[in-house]
Amino acid sequence: MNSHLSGALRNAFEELAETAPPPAGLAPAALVAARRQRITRRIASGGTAVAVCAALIGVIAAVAPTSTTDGTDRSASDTMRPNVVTAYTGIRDANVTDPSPHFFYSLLLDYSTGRYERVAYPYVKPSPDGRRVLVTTYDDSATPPMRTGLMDRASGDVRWISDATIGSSLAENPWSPDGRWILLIDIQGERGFGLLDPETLKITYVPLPDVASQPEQRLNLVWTPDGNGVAMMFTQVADQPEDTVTGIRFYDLTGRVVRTVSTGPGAYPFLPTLSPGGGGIALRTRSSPQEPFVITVVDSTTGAVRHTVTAPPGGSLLGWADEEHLLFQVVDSDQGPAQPSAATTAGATQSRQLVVVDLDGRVDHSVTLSAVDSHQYFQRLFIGPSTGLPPTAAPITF
Amino acid sequence: MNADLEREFTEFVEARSHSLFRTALALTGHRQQAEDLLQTVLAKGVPHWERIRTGNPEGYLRTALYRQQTSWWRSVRRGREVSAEQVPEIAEPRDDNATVDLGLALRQALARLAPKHRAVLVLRYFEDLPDSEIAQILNCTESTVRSQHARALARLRVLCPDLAILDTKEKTSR
Repeated sequence: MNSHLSGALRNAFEELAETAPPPAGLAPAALVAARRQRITRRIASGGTAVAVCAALIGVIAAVAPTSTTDGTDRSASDTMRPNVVTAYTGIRDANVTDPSPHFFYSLLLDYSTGRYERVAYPYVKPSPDGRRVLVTTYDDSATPPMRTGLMDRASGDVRWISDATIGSSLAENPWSPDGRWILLIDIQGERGFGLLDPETLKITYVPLPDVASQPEQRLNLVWTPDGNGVAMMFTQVADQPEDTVTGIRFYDLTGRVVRTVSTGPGAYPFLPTLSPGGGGIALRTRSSPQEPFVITVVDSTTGAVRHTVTAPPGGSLLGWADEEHLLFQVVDSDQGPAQPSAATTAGATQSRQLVVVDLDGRVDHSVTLSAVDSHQYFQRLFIGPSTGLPPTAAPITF
Repeated sequence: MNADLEREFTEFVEARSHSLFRTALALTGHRQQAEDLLQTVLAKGVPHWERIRTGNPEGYLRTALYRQQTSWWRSVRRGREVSAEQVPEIAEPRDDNATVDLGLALRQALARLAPKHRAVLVLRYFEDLPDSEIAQILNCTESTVRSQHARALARLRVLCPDLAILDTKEKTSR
């Protein structure tokens, strides 16, 4: 290496680093931005931040039967419903204080018993059919060594994935609705996406040739409900603030553009966004941190607004429960029941509930998250179909 | 996040923002982009603060800066040039005696590097980190770091022909 070049580079970076002082108000702005994104929720007395995200596309069963328990808490009912929490992941073990791999653990639903079993992986993501589980190991150190693998649920055996191009953000890598692929969103050095075959662990790279030519910022990739393509949310560069969706482009699994839908400005992306039947796209519209956000449901073909739904107080949108209902998590017990007019039968407020709301904004039913202690920290939960659960598991379905 | 954690987060950011912002500036070379980058990473760090505060929060956020910056989802938006696999022919260097501002030319060339190439150079020459640590931060192998480094320098020589002056100096000093 040319020592003069090394010196020139060091000088150049040092000069660049000194061109400006840090802006004022970084921390308050970050706190407001985090609240705006509804990633954090205040929990009643624990005061612990909980980040919850669900991967629902394709793992939700078909349209639910007509509810007979309008506005009720599912913990008080024995009706089997189509959805269930299949895993809680990143649960903090309070007995471990060092940054060891045991810092977090996960709970996986056992479909044969309807109970959750503890597994020693800090991150798990079950496939839609429950046969396989994407697992990741890491600890709490600054740059934790990470390993990712696929666990066979029956045997517990894990096949570790050695490909370094996959990246570390596995939380954004969703199973396809049919469980045949795992969508790799952030591939190092690739302008496109990857498809990981869980049978062979072989990765197929799919370039998106139009990406380089479009003056847009890509925000997210999700599966289409039929599993035959992906949808990319994007924003126009010139006049839109960061992370604001202005359109969605659909691709088939070869990277060919199928169609582009303009959604208009002012909506934030989240996962997932497409309804299970593929007809609707739910977008979260801009709101102040003090107000409930509004979900705009647009037609997935025309982009026309079909519904606007106000989120329950303290609720964050997880996705679609079925074609006609949205699913929210309500974390903050301080803010009262999800919908006072409809949830009065639920009685006392709950610290963590999943609330199913129809497209007119009415609460259809809710279920209390009982697998983890109400004050226990967990990072994510995942939702899947309740098919195959014993009748005794009805109270945890929704 | 409760009030105590928010206060602790705020104090940490106030104490370490200068250092983190220096890294963001070195990575982006542009004040507004650096602010955007750091703000994005801090906002993403808020939900995880209770966990990362117990380890090395600055290291965590610094790693997040690099990973955020090198995500191709963001690189397209910024219109950055992506380094080609095949490096074109190197342009003719200028005369050694030409009065060029090498520093300025170098900074302009750095601005045109692909984010990942630039990140490797920042980690090596600004942070003075070994390949093993660079690989950890960028979540890749050490061999990838070495190849990215080589490509970045090759690309830099194309974008900044005046660097040939330094090669001449190097040969002269031997």
